Order: sequence, then structure tokens, then C-alpha cells
Amino acid sequence: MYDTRFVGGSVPRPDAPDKAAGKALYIHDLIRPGMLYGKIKFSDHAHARIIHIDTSRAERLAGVRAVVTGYNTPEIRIGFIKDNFALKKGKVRQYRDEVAAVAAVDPDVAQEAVDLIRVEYEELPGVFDPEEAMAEGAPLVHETDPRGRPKVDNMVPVPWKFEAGDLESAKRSAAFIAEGRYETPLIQQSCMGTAGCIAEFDLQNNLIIHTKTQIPFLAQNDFNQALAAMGLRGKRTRVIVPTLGGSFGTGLDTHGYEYIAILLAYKSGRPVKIVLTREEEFTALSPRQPTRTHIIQGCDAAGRLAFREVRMLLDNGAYTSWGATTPSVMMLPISSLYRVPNVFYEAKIVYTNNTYCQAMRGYGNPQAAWALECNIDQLAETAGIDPYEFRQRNANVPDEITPMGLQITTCGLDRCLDTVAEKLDWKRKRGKGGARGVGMASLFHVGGSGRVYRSDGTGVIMKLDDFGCVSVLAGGVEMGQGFISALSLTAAEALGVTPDRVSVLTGDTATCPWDVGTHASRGAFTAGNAAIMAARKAREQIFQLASEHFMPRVHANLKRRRKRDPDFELPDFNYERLCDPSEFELRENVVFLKEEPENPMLRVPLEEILRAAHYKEQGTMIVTEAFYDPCNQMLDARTCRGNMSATYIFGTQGAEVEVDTETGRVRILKFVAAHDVGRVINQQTIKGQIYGGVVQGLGYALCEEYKSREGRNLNPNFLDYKILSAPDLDFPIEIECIETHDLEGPFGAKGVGEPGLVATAPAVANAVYDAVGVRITDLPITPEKVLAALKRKKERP
Amino acid sequence: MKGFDYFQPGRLEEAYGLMETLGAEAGYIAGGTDILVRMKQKIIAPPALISLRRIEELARMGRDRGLLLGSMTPLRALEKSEEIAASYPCLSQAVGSLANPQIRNVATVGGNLCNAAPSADCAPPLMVLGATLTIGGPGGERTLPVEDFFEGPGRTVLRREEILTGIAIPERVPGTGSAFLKLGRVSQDIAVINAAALVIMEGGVCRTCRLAVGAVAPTPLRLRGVERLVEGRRPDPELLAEVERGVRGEVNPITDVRSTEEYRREVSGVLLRRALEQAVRDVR
Ligand SMILES: Cc1cc2nc3c(=O)[nH]c(=O)nc-3n(C[C@H](O)[C@H](O)[C@H](O)COP(=O)(O)OP(=O)(O)OC[C@H]3O[C@@H](n4cnc5c(N)ncnc54)[C@H](O)[C@@H]3O)c2cc1C
Repeated sequence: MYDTRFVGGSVPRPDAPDKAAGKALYIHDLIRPGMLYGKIKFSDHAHARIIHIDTSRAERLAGVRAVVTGYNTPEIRIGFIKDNFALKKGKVRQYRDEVAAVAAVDPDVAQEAVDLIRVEYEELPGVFDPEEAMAEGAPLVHETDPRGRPKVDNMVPVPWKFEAGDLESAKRSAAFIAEGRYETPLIQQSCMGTAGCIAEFDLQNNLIIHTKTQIPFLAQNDFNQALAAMGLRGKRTRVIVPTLGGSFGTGLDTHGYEYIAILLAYKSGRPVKIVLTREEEFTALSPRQPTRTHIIQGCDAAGRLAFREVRMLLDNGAYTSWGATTPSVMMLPISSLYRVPNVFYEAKIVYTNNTYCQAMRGYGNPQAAWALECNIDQLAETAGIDPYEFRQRNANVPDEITPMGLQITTCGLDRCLDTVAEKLDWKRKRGKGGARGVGMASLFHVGGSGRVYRSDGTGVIMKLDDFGCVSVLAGGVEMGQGFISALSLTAAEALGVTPDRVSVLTGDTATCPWDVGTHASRGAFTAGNAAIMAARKAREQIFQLASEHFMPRVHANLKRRRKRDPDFELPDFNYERLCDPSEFELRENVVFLKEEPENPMLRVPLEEILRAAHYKEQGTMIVTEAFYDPCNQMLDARTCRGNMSATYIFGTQGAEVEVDTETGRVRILKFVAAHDVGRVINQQTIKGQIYGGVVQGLGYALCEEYKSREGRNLNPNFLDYKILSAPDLDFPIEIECIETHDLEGPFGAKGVGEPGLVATAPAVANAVYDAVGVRITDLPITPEKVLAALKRKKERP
Repeated sequence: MKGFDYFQPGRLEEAYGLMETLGAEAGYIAGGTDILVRMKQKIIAPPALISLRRIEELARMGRDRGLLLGSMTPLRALEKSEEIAASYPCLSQAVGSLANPQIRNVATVGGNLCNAAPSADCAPPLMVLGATLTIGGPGGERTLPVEDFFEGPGRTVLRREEILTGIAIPERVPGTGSAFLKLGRVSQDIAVINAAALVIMEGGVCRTCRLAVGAVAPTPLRLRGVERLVEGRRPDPELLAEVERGVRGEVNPITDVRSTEEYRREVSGVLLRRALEQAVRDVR
């Protein structure tokens, strides 16, 4: 346990006032001199051959400065396996395929020009269901793989399989077995700020791009590759990230619109801005992958988990993003939530002519938790054990090594379970009927970053100024999660200054140190650790300087005091004395001697030491840096084993619900979330993260669904894509942060960005089951489904 | 959104005249919360809009035995009116459930009716309250009961130049109770189903019953067949069950992105039965 002054407090976020007052600059607010507005022409079909694109009328329209298609620009490949192109040639594979784009002097002209582009297609039969896409003779979404070799099926070449123990014998000897089939829908991240960018070139043809991303440094690499494809090899990219109005995983890939803005900017010689409208955000940005899961679990007579078998099918859509790696994260709870020795997990990802998917908060874990935690309740029921008790019996423990090779350090799962049970009044409320019920579900997730790339590193630079203020330059991205707040408290704590002295600066690849990206709930964890390392170096340097300047400063200050107050007697210090650096301490902006921390005369403000260093001959300054790369492992591609994260987090969520049996409506009466967070850094931000996660998770549970017919989105707006808003939250949400003080984390903290929504939907479904005895297996739990299930139950009880 | 001309006449005659000269595609705009959305979605692109905001007589709320509402009365004003809350609770409840305070500050009651969405929240309560509409045009004024106003989704009896000027709601008689209920997917939503009921009771017997339901047919619907079932009887469980069944027989819903035909049919019965029960409890 660390003794801290600021970490653990409850303070407003430093970025909040500007955001609340409308002063923060989002991509929507940015204007560059001479800027043009880009607009994209999307496909009219889910699957079709492009016969001809006629841009002549658009080109002739007054105010149009550039028109691009796949036929008049270099080919730019994008995506995780490079099966996608910035502009499409030959064929379109989804409605959102970009076939052309324009840049014009204002958005209306750009829109008009896009409407003037005529594309002639030859329609092809499409495939929209992942199972149908796997059937023999299904239309091929891609005739060749990215290397040009013929493809014979619609499988995405990213298979996932994990096996541990002896499944078959465990199945034979299990006392109880429960089986279920579960589905999750496509959902959209629903960021308040839509996606967009401004691309421009300097006169040396270097690219500067302001863009909404969570991976500025990987994006820099992607864009450099695009420059090479454009014949600009060796030119540089500078990525600048404006204020983000939420990102939720949308910024983990680079997108077609960014490359199109780059092409338009290059062609027109002017900055080009593309910002997606809300409708485009729905129809042309990648939502969360839908899944179909077949799960079987078994336990022994005492209710100890014996095996778990999970087969999953993911609808990839037409192209492949980093989202194709979400099964690696699903594997964590599937192999390691609760102690289960025998595990089989297989995930297949299939191309269809639907919109292509990407990651969203939780990175696959919500889909996995949905099947796992609903099925755990089924199994507990089969075994005749209360599901809370069942979970407690199988709960993970500290220092456990799981079948996947995950090395659990701290583990607060038992306390999370107890907290939720207690707050829900579980014993009294469970199984009482009357259309009211309680349910719970747990989660397991990375909490110490996650090595999905070869590096899991994060850089931090600490720069101290004349006034004892500290600029912390970080490569991570603030997207609303509270990164800046967490990092400023951690940096202040580690350095020994007050948080108001710290400014966190992020989002510019030209000035900020390298970082692999803000994903996997890693921002505060990795940057916090890097900040502690950088602060340690800074302190060493400060104390080094103090050894030289401290006593002379004390002397000067005391002499000045005597000038003002002639009665003041100079104490008898040895002002010539050189102190050893190890004798100093820095706390709350003041350097003092450890031996005499209370002596008011032996205290020198940090800024005086820094200034003394700046204003002397052969002076110096303090800028330190640190690169933190956690001690974790990348998954072995063949065995799918490896300790992905430096530490893991646990949580349990619980709901009390009431079901209106005549309308099928589920009302939440109370929601409880207990999360093992390692250590709270800022009470306000952590609660914000968990509240936000819970509400997003409740939307997943109850109403969010991206509906489409034959690949076309039917609800591309908040009129018909429903997320929860403030008036829906007419029930208490009780949050309990369980502190387990993890040694890997900054001051004991673990990552908390994603977990708030992981266990939410199964908790609600389990409560609905307790209330009315029907189990909804496909999200969202709509009144229509509940009512139909109640009717079926009545007909065949 | 395409550019458009914008006019702000101060008098009704001026507005009619503008509409005559501007041609078929021009439109009136009240609060703009429906029409601007449709323009942004490129469903319509009127070259000119004529605002009704400057026409003072349209914004008045007054009394003439019953209640007179100018068509331009913002919904927020209805929501805040104590008189409406006391005398016409079904209308108050409907307005309170419509959109959110920001929208209600600008959206008007006339716009809600003229937009003629099958789900318009003001329609069922005004139907059961027996409201009549006054329509003005170059040829003069006419009045008609609100249920005769709607012709289909987005279609009303209004001719091109005509303006809905006012809504008259008869005075509440003692023994009346009313209620409005709405089902949406979340709390801020267009109705999946909405329902209003009004009863006038005499000695435990329902003398007058009016029931209306929205979003389950091409227009908001008065349920006259079910009303006849109720009138002259006591609202006992047997009657309430008949009401549920009767409603299901009278509605004509569709499946769309918001819900299914089956669900709407089934639950409109439930919702109306509940509205009726609540109206009976509201009787004063
Ligand atoms: C976020 C949001 C939420 C909403 N939620 C709901 C809801 O829950 N329930 C609901 O019922 N509606 C809802 N609406 C729709 C809308 O707000 C209401 O229908 C509102 O009452 C429309 O009034 P308005 O004054 O804004 O109409 P406008 O948009 O100005 O006009 C609508 C139509 O009526 C015509 N018109 C308006 N006034 C007159 C008149 N006096 N004479 C002749 N023609 C006229 C216009 O030409 C136009 O065609 C919502 C809208 C939004 C944007």
C-alpha cells in the first residue's frame, strides 16, 4: 500500500471546464487557412461490379477543387490484413464502400458534386448471414486474398483456437452440464463527436493530419505507408489529435475517409476536411462485431467447474479491421474467468456483404461475457446451486496461473461477488417471483495493459520550467475517459508537486513521445507507470541540483527576511555545506531536508532550485523521459498461450429488475457494480468511467441494435438507434471500487476503462430470468422478445 | 441541407398570399422540429419556408368556456399550464412525454398535429377531449373535429395555403377522468404505441367513453367500437378484458424498425385497458 496525498482523492478533471463551456476544440471546430471540404460518394449496392464512374459533371461544378476515384489515384491498401482499399475499383462489397470523393470550397458544393457523380454497377448476389456465407456455393465477398491468390471460401484468414486439458473426458465425468446458444447484435459506438480529419501537406510534401484517433503513432506509420504508395516515400507524417468527443474503439484503426482526405489534399494542394455526419457515422464507420456463440459448460457434483466449450462465429463484414483480433481478448474470460481446467474455444470470422466491424470498448469481452455468464446461471440452476454461491465456489484467487498462462496477481473477485450480493440484498430478493428478480454476472479483463502488438510501450516526457510547473508529454490519447486527470495526479504524486502544477499534453506525434495506442484500458496504467519512472529521474536531478543550491538559497532567503524584519536573527547554519542528494525530499512543490522536515527555515520552493540551475554559468535544465513496457507477453500464435497483461481485473455487476408481464418491458430498479480496480486514482473519474460503462452496457442489454436489411442500415440516426439518456436512469447505480493494491500498477492501480460494460447485459438477463423465468439469449432484451418468450412459456410451461 | 428563402409574415392573410405566390413546394414552418429534420434528411427540399412565428393571434392561449389554444402555442407552455394539468390531465401527460424540454421549448401543438405522424403524441388526448380545430385559408375559416383532420401518414385535410389556427377543447364536466399512456423503446422516444382514454362517470357507470390510440394505424385512431362496449357499463374486470380484445380487433398496425405488428396489436389492448383504468381513477 502506498501512502499518497493526491492519488485516491476526488477532484474535478482538468479538462472538464473547457469541455463544459464549449471551449475545447473538436475536429468539427478546426479550420485551416484555405481549407476545402471533402465528401465521399458511397456505394449504392451491397455487392456489385463497378462498370463505370462518371465524375465529369462533378468536376465541372463551380467550387469543386478535386475529384478522386480508385481509377485516378494510386492504390492505397488499408486494414489489419490489407484487404481493404481507400477507394474501390472493380467491385463494391458493402454499402459503405467509397467509390469516389470530392473536395470543394464549402460543404454544400461538395455534397452537390457528390450527387452529380454517376456510377454504373452490375449487381451481384450478396451474402448477409455469416452461416450462409460459410455454406458451399455462397457468393464470394473476396475472390482473392490480399496477396492475389484465389479464395475458395468466405473465411477471414484469422482463425482462433484455444485448447487446454482433456475436454472429452471432462465432459464424460461431469455431474451437471448446461448448454446454450447466445447472440449479440451489431452496435454502434455512438460517440457524441463524430469522426473526422483535416489532411494537409507542407511545401516539402510532408503530411500533417489532424484526426480522431486512439493510435497516433501507429496511424503515423499507416499514413507513411500511404505516402509511399502515393510516390512520396521518405516524406513524413505528423498526426495531431484534437479534443475527442468519445472514441470507444473507433480510433483503433485508420479509416478510408482519412486516406481519402489525404488524396484530396494532395491533389488540390489545400487542406481538406472530412467530418462524418451522424448518418455517415452510423452507415460508414465500423460498429462492434456481432457474434453467435454455442456454449457448453459442466461441473462436478459439488459445483466445481469441470469444463467449458465455446464455439463462436463472428460476422466480419466485407473487410478486416483490428477487430478480427477481438477473439484473443474473448479468450481471456473464456479460459480464465473462474477456475476451469478443461477449455475449448474456437472462433471463426466470416466475410459477408455487411458493414465491416471493428473494436468497441471491451474488445470482444462483452460478447464473451454474454454467453459465459448467462450460461453459468443455467449451469448453477441445473446443479441446484444458487448462482452467487456457484460463482463464489469457482472464483479466481490471487497468484493463480490460468490454463492460458495468465498470471493473476491480485484478485478481488470474491469481494466483488460479496459486495454485489450484499447491496442487492440477494438472499432476501432472489427467487421471490412477483415479476421481480435479481441477477449478477462477473467479468475478467486485462488490467495491466495487453500486448496485442509486439510493443506494449508508452513514453512520457517530463519537462520542468522556471516556475516549478511540470509539462507531462504523453503519447496516450484523452478521449473522454479521464486520461489527463489520472496522469496529472499520478505525475504530481510521483514527483512531489501539487496537481495544479502539472499540465498533461498529448496528441501530437511531433512533440509527444511514442505510445502504442490507447486501448485495452491501458492509458492510465502504462502512462502512470512511465510517469513514475520519469518522475524518479527528475527527482534525482532535482536533488542533485539541490545539493549545490539548497543551502545558498536558504541563506539568501533568510538574509532577505532579515532585511524586512531587523529583529530576525540569522540561525547558525553551515551555509557552505554541500548536502548529499540523498538527504533531500520534495513534497508539495517544496524541497526540504529529510532530517528536518518540520524546520520552516530549511525549505526551498522547487522553482528556486530550478531557476538557480537555469541562471548560472554552464547551467542546466530538467527534462526527463521514460519508456514503460510492461512485463507481459504476446500470445503464442499457435498455442494461444501467453501472459498478455501485467495484471488482470475483476468485477461483478448485479441488477434488480421488474418485468411488466403484459408489455414485456424490463425496468431496472437498482444496479450495482463492484470492480477490482487495484487502487482508485481519482474517485470522480473512476466513477465516471464505471457509470458510463454501466449505462452503455445497459443500452447493449436493453435497446441498442444496428438494424439492417441486406447490408443496408435501417436506423442510421438517434431517432431509431436508441441509446439510453439521462431520463432513463431513474434508478440508483451503486458503485463500489474494491482496492487490491496491485504491485504492477501505478500506486497500485489497474486499468479500468472498459470493464464497466462487460458484465452488464448478462447481469440484467439473469435478473430477468429470476423475475419471470424466461431466458432471452439474443441481445438486446426488447419488450417484443420478452413478451413472446412469456407467451411461449405459458403455452408450453 | 439545401438553401431556402425564409419569410416571416405578421398576419394570416399575408401568409396565405405568400403561399399562393411561392408555389407548390413552399412550406409553413412552426417550431421546425419536424420539418427541419426532414429537410436535413433530404426527404423534402422546399425552396421557401414561411414562418408562422410572427403571427400573434396564433400564439394565444385563452378561454371561451373551454380552452382555446393557438396552433403556435409551444408545448412547453401546455406542459407548464396548471389549468391543463387539472382539467385535461391526458393532454398534460402527453406533452410531458414528448421529446425533451429543449424540443418542447420550440415545438408547437399545431406542428404536432399538422405533421400528422401516426405517433403524434398530442393527437390521442385531443381526440378523447373532443377538440375541434379551426382552419384558416384565403377562402375563409372552417372548423372540424380533430379526428377528421388526419388522412394518412403525413397527410391531413389541409389545403396548400391553409393554416391550422386554433384548437378548441370543450370545458371539463364534473365526473370526468382522463389519462394518457405511451410506450417507447427508451424514455425519450417516438411512441411505439400511445393511448388516451376519457370517461364521464355517473354512479359508477360510464356514461361517456372516448378512446384513442396512436402508431397502430395510418392515422391516430378513435376506437368507437370499443367505446360503445364501455358506455353504460361498470368498468369491471370482465369489461376491461373485453376492452383489451376489442382494441386488438380495431387496430391495424405494421412492422417497422421500431416494433412489430404482433407486438403493437397485443400491447395496444393492454395500454388502452390501463389508460381506461387510470382515467376511471382520475374521475373527479
Ligand atoms: C428529438 C425529437 C424528439 C421528438 N419527440 C417526439 C415525441 O416524443 N412525440 C411526438 O409526437 N413528436 C416528437 N417529435 C416531433 C416534433 O417535435 C413534434 O411533432 C412537434 O410538435 C412538431 O411541432 P413543430 O412546431 O416543431 O412543427 P414544424 O416542424 O414546424 O412543422 C411540422 C409540419 O407541420 C406544418 N405546420 C406546422 N404548423 C402549422 C400550422 N399551424 N398550419 C399548417 N401547417 C403547419 C409544417 O409545414 C410542417 O409540415 C420529436 C422531434 C425531435 C426532433
